[in-house]
Amino acid sequence: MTTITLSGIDKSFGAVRIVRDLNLTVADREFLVLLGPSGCGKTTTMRMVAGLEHPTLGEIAFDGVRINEVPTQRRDVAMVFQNYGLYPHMSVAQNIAYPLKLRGVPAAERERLVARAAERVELTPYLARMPRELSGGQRQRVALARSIVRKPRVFLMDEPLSNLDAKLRVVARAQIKHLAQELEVTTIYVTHDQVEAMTLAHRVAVMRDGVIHQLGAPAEIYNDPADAFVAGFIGNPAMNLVDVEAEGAGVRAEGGLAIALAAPRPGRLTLGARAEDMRIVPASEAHFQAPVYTFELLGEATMATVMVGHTLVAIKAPKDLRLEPDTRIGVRFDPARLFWFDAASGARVRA
Amino acid sequence: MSAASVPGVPGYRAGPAERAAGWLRALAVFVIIAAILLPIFWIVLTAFKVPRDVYTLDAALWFAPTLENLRTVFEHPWNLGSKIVNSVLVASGTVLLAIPMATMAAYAFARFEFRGKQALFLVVIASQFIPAAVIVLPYFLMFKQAGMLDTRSALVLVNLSIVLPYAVWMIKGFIDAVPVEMEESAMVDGASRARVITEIVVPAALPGIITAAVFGFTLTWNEFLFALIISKQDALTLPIGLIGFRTDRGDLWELMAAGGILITAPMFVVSLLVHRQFIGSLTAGAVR
Amino acid sequence: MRRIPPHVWLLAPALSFVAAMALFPLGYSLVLSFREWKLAASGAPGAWVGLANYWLLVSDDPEFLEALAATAVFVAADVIATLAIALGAALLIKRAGRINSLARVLMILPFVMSPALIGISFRFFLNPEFGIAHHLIGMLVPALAGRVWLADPTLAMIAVIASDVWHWAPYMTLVVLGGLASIPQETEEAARVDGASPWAVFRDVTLPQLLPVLGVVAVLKTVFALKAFDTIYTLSNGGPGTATQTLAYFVYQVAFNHYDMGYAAAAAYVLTAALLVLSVFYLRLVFRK
Ligand SMILES: Nc1ncnc2c1ncn2[C@@H]1O[C@H](COP(=O)(O)OP(=O)(O)O)[C@@H](O)[C@H]1O
Ligand SMILES: [Mg+2]
Repeated sequence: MTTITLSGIDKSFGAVRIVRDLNLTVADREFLVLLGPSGCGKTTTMRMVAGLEHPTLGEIAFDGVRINEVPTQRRDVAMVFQNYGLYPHMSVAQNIAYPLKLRGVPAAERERLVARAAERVELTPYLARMPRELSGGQRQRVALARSIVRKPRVFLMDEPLSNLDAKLRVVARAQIKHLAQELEVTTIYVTHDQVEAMTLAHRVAVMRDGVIHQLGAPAEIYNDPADAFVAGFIGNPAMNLVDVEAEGAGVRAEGGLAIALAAPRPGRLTLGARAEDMRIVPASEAHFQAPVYTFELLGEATMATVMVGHTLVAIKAPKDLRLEPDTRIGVRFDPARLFWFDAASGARVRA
Repeated sequence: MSAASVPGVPGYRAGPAERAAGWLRALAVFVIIAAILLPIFWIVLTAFKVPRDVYTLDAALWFAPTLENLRTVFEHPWNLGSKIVNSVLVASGTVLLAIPMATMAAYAFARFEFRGKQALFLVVIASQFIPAAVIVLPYFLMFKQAGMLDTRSALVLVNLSIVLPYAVWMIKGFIDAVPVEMEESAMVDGASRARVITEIVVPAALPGIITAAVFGFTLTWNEFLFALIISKQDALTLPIGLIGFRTDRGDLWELMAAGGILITAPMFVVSLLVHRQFIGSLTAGAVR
Repeated sequence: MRRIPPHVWLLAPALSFVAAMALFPLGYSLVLSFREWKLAASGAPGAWVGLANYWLLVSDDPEFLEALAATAVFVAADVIATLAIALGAALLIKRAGRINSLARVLMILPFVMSPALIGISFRFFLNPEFGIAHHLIGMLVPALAGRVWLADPTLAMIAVIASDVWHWAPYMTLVVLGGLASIPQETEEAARVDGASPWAVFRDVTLPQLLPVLGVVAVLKTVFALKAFDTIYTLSNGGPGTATQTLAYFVYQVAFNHYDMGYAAAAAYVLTAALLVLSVFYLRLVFRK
């Protein structure tokens, strides 16, 4: 039962301001994902919650009580480190038991809890091994088991899947999701992978350069991005973003191509549309026409790419379509799923 | 659902116990620094005192400085000048002989596989552990017979026994860190083994080789027991020169201090110049 | 014609020197230890005496036994003090910071100083009339104020140990710092998150991972302490009496003051045996993989 509140958090290393006036409340039992490109300050933010780093300014509170001065060991948080931080001189069982040992849990009880935690992450056969004798995936699960062996107030995970190969990552992701539902502990999960964020989170905080750009449920962030950065960061492939200038009844892309869409306001804008929200249509229905740059088969669909001005724009198409490069095609936007942003600030411009 | 911003709240307020601990740590570091610097500082002061000020603590810090001692030590009978020459010649001779041999051997140990390699390498490393007395005993007798006692060449030879193993080990560590691909691409381009060593490996490992040379020079420069036994008059080195200030009239501390500056200052200068590599390789060498 | 493989000519110079300057004397001294040779009397080695030199050492030479005892005291105290100081100082200055990196740089200075000079300087500092250390210690510990350090067997031993520790502890601090730096920081942070107090982090996570390095430091320092000669010669001359006469110093005395070469070789071999055993420990620790 813990609500985490970060109020006006600033963190500087020397003269470099890494986190800027960050305000965030993580509700009790919420699974919040901090999502952002590498170096944006996610780890630093999480380390401040753990007490491994002190904020320069601002307040961190658990259930409304300031904890800035509470040392890490008394915050009762659990953390999975990016490189797991396993104790190399202890066996798997000893690693998992260590938090219990520190809390004075009797040996018999300890053994029972370790066995249960190991069971939950399928580590039972490896309890006697040393960390160096384990694969990457197994090490990740030891770290996980060590943090779930007790019930902490707060659960912190720093890119726990980033050192796994693609296939294992999908499995481990499902496992974490399952565990999180079972444990019901307030969780902050850090990742730069938007798929992880979308699949795991109750809410996602999208961060860049130490600032939260948008905070919301995954669907909200996907369907209603607050600005061009969030729009471009979420979704695979990334949302098409084309710089345009309002001209007459339509807009003109930077390289000169005219697009038959009415701008919400005059001036320089960025037009955003996802690949799946555009269609290849006959010239008469098209918002613009352009020659095919590349054409790719994806399996369940195909992807046509055209050059709009100086920007490549991807369009998802039916799986049986075939196009030759340089064929001129017409493209139509779904007007309901079209986004406008201020070209300079990236802020959303609503129609 | 952002919480209200609380601008300007300090992110961390250290409690009194923590602040006290911080001060204690700072004090302890200060004590360490003082323990290193004060003895050195005291020797330096003494070197600039007239004897009257040396033999009393009343003039500990306030005294009329003199350069007399630094001049006297170069005069008869002390003649530190000739001892400096001997020390420089012995140390550079040892290093100039040891470093090329050590580099070649280090390269072989780093890059070739051959039978008995591990054993040979361990013998080289272990040879540092032989007590100096064991080494000098036979050579004292042999040099005596060959009339080589009290010569600089004799000192160079025995000093090789300590410098060579260290140098092989240190340089091997640095060659291990040079990517093999650099050499292989040079060989693909048609370079011979000798050219690869002189034109690729040596330049790449040069910081390490220089560090080993500085280290070897330091060892030889400060070497005491061999010089004490082998040199009598002509080949006396600086450390032996220092004990010459212990005379029938008592210890001439101000001259010892002046000599101490002469023997120490060059080592301080070079070791501070290469301190980064020096610390790195010394610590890596001992724990690798 | 068969070509000589390159590693042979690369190794030949260095290995022949190591053989000539280290292995040959090792054998020669061993042979010598079975013979009688008083250099003052004769320019050539004398009769074979078997183990007589060794027997004399253990059965009828109190000075040798005293030297063994002094060596044990010197080595044990020296190693323990060096380890404790090196570990403490390394933990103290391992954090980043300007003053700490200054301390790290200064650690090189005692190491590159001539041990002979260090011995001479300590002798000077401990002079009962105008020695600065004698004076300051006397102020801090009044019981020691009137004592003449180098005339008192216990104090002289402490002085000799202190001078050797001053020479070596800073270097060993750098070695321990290297060991601390190679411990993954995440393991210590994970322990804090798991609930470990600073002391528990040190005891359960830092120290176990540091043990191999501390082992290396202990063995190396034991070797250097067994070989220590310069500071003893210049600081106490083995005195008062034979109070600070360690085995290395004893060998020197027998060989180059009494010129009793066979006997000296036997004593030297006792030292050599100890060092070779230690070198095996050392090589095990360093090359255990
Ligand atoms: N201890 C530190 N000292 C100086 N700069 C740091 C430190 N820790 C992190 N940084 C810098 O802060 C920025 C954000 O780091 P981090 O929070 O690790 O980013 P993320 O986890 O989002 O990739 C990076 O530019 C990093 O170099
Ligand atoms: Mg990170």
